[in-house]
Amino acid sequence: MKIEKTEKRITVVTDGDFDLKVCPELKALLAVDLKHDRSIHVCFDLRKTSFIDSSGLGLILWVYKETAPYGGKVSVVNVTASAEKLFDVAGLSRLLNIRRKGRERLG
Amino acid sequence: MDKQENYVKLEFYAKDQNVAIARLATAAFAGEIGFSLSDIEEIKVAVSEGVSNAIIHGYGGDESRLVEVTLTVEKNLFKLEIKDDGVGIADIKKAMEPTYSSVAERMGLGFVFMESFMDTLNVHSSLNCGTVLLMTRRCPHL
Ligand SMILES: Nc1ncnc2c1ncn2[C@@H]1O[C@H](COP(=O)(O)OP(=O)(O)OP(=O)(O)O)[C@@H](O)[C@H]1O
Ligand SMILES: [Mg+2]
Repeated sequence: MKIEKTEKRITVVTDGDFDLKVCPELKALLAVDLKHDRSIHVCFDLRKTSFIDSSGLGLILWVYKETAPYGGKVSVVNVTASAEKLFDVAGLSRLLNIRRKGRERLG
Repeated sequence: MDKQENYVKLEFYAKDQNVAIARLATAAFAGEIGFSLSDIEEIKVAVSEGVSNAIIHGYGGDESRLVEVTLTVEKNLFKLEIKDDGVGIADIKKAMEPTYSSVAERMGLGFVFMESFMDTLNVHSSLNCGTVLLMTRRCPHL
């Protein structure tokens, strides 16, 4: 897992499993950053993520809820076809900015 | 015995790192049956949700407790059973409602995923008597 920060954007590159095991630690790290600035753009890059379930989705939605009222933004990029299915079933595709693997654009 | 018939039982501590182990064993079992890679991804989500629930809700973080995952294939039907001996569910219907969660920061999506990715899901549970999930999925025609 890697977290890259610029003034306007936090990019979280999760690797391997994005599940119950990694979520508490990642959440604690992000909570510290969000305390400073909730109007930030948080980008989850799933290019190295081989598995995600409701724990991972829950964390992404938590960031959305923390930032959205303050003008922040959440995007999820490099999502595999199987992960995209989860976002669809969860009804999160409308709420979050989700981009499939290989379709990433800048911005 | 039928060539496809098979049975595997796993029992493990309610530790978060064991969710991945349950997923990998289940994926290997499903792969052996002939499920496609995208089917296996769905089955992995189902087992992950059930086992995570047992750890989080059933045992509330008590890692010394045991979770049981039983994998069976017979007569072209794949069966996945997940059992805990934890607090149990008082109102199963309510618990299974999409977006219902007893934990504020959770989304209540686990049962939604189990239902959408498996053909059937049955929940047997009562307060203080643990929880048993039984899920099935038709095997692919080979
Ligand atoms: N094994 C279990 N033991 C006790 N209660 C359970 C168990 N599994 C589920 N529940 C109850 O059912 C509710 C719904 O479960 P579900 O998996 O759908 O959502 P969640 O776990 O709360 O959130 P998410 O799965 O999105 O992280 C839980 O909040 C919990 O109250
Ligand atoms: Mg759950």
